[in-house]
Amino acid sequence: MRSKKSKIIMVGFVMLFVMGCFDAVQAEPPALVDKTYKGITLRFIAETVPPTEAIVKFLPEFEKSSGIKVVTEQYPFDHVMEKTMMDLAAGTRIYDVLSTPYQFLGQFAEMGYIQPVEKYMNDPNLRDPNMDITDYIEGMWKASAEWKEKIYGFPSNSCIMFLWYRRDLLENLAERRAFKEKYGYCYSIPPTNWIEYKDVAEFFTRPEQELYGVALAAKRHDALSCEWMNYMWSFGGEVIDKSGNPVINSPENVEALKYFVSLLKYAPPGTTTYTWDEVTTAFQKGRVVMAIQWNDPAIDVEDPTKSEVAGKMGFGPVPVKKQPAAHFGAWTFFIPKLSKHPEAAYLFIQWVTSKEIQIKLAREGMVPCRYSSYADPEVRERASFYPATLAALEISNYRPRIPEWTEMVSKMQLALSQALAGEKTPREVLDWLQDEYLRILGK
Amino acid sequence: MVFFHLPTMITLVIIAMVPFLFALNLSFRAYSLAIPGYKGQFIGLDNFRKLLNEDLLFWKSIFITIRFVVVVVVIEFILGLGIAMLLNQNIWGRRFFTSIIIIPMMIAPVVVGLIWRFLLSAEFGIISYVIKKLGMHLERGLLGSVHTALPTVMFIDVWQWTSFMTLILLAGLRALPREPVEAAQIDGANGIQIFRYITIPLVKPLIFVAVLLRSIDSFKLFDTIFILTGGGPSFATELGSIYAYRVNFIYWNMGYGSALVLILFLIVLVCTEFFFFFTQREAPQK
Repeated sequence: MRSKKSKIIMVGFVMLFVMGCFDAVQAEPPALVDKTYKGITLRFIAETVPPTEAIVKFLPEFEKSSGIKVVTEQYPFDHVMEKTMMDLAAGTRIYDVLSTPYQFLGQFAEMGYIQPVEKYMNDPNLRDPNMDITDYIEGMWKASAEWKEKIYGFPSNSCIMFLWYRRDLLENLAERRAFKEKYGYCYSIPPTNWIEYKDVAEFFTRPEQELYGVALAAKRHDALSCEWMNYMWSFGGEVIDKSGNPVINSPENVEALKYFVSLLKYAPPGTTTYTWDEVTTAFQKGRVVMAIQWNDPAIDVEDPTKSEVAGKMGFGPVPVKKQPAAHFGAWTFFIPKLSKHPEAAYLFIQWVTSKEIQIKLAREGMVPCRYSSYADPEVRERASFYPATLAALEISNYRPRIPEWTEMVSKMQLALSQALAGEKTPREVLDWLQDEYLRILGK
Repeated sequence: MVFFHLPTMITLVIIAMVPFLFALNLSFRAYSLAIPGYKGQFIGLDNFRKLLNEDLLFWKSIFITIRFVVVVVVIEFILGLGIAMLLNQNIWGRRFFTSIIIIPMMIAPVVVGLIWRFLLSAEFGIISYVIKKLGMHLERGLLGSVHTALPTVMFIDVWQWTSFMTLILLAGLRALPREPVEAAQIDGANGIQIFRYITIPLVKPLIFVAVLLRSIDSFKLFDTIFILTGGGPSFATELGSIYAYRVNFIYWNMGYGSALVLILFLIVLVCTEFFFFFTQREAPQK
């Protein structure tokens, strides 16, 4: 009798145990269920952009499920990098989670500022059973997470560049007829090669109506190098070749820069003071027809309360010369090596990039990093630019992630700005840039 | 006595000497927050050698800075002196105008930058609009063209800081004794002669102070230009201070950056010494 009873009890326990395990596999990492890290406060630093605001909006959910409190510090781009860098270099240990552009990955990893996250990913206590790495968009994962075969972080905002155009103007039949009469052919909507792009830009440049063919983010600023690199890749160029030597003055790049400078005639007068922000404003005011622009402000240009062209916009791939191009600009969530609470920080990052939260963020109009978010019907309906975003993400050209890049890109901006100002020819500035790159890289 | 000076000396050592020596030490080292291998090893004068021999951009930025300082200080001095002379007359509403005139000086430089950026915006700015209505054609806007960007930031600096000159010179003019002027009048001197031989020599010490302070201030101008142009377009408005910022906080090359800042400091020091020499040589003539 007694043994039978104990057997039943034992079976009961085993069943409970199995069910318990099963339950854990189904839902959340044990650390969340047990609230292991309850009472911890994480400090998270990120750029002041809509995606960060959206994360902050959903933070109470994380705080409720984990018991971990997250304090978010938001600053404009330059200040994020200054504060992050100071914290990492001085070892003040203020921040537990960083949101940083992916090109700093190599620099941070080589300097030993950040730590690989694999050991947390493999910890059954922390790992989210539903994580599914293959669901992260492949290009993003490669650029934002992996450095020398180690995983250092998870991708955040999937910023990427593509072609913005005024669909209503380009599709207008009268305009198309007039264009055919003038140029002898019909353009595709949107233009697929650079010859068409320039003709369309010229055709729609009507200063008397305050309408311009293109907007260039041509201020001496990060926006300038970001934009031009699309042309560079499309024309078949690169910054650094496969063996690590700079090739910035290649014939392809010279041609791409010549072409870029030639577009200046069709841009609004203020274009040399534009960054990505002013390009968006110019669209919102209905002043420009086309631009190669980032995806994250697209939500603002499609918002009728902020924009005169909401519903009239189209989004497509960057025109192609030799190869498709799309400048990838995502950010990455990192955990500093000296973080006081790396496990809790990992739980936070895992939560932000989880399928569930990414879909929620996408429904807010943000740019998610998972295939599954783009497949969500509600997300697809939410914004006209998601198909173009996903298509561009599949291409994803990315800038070098070497430690020297911050200096290199700053010099690139100077060179491009000089060419745009007409002080020097594209050939001259790129030759100068090549010399600078050789010097910076110590070749 | 030494005991009473102690707090001041300690404060000075902490806020001035320690950072200075730290920067000096750093300038002899290869130290970067971004590049692995630049771990602070001693490299002697290598940073200085590179700066002075190889860094063409550095020299370019120094020349732009000198141009900026000379133009801005000369214009501010002439305008400031003129306005101070005007306000020194017993005209109606003198106090009111004095208050009005110092308003630009009281606005934070970053705000000045933001206000002017909006005013000068090529598409939406009121100034660009007026220029267009006047029939002048500006292809790229005042801040967007390499030819007009530097004069424009100079103008903004003059707009903001002329009143500083005015204030100092006005204080000097108001403190002048009446007697020499009256004596000269009795001797039959005309207005220009009184100005040239009585007023100017008497306010000279204050002129030196005002010019010196403005020169140092405009030499290290950063915030307004950073907001307005960020050093662009091309290299047109890249003052030494902007270039120093770029090297230190964008390239994160802090050893090299410290050397750069020290050279800027040396230039200011030499200029100041030159000024002092100048005043001291003039003094006995009075």
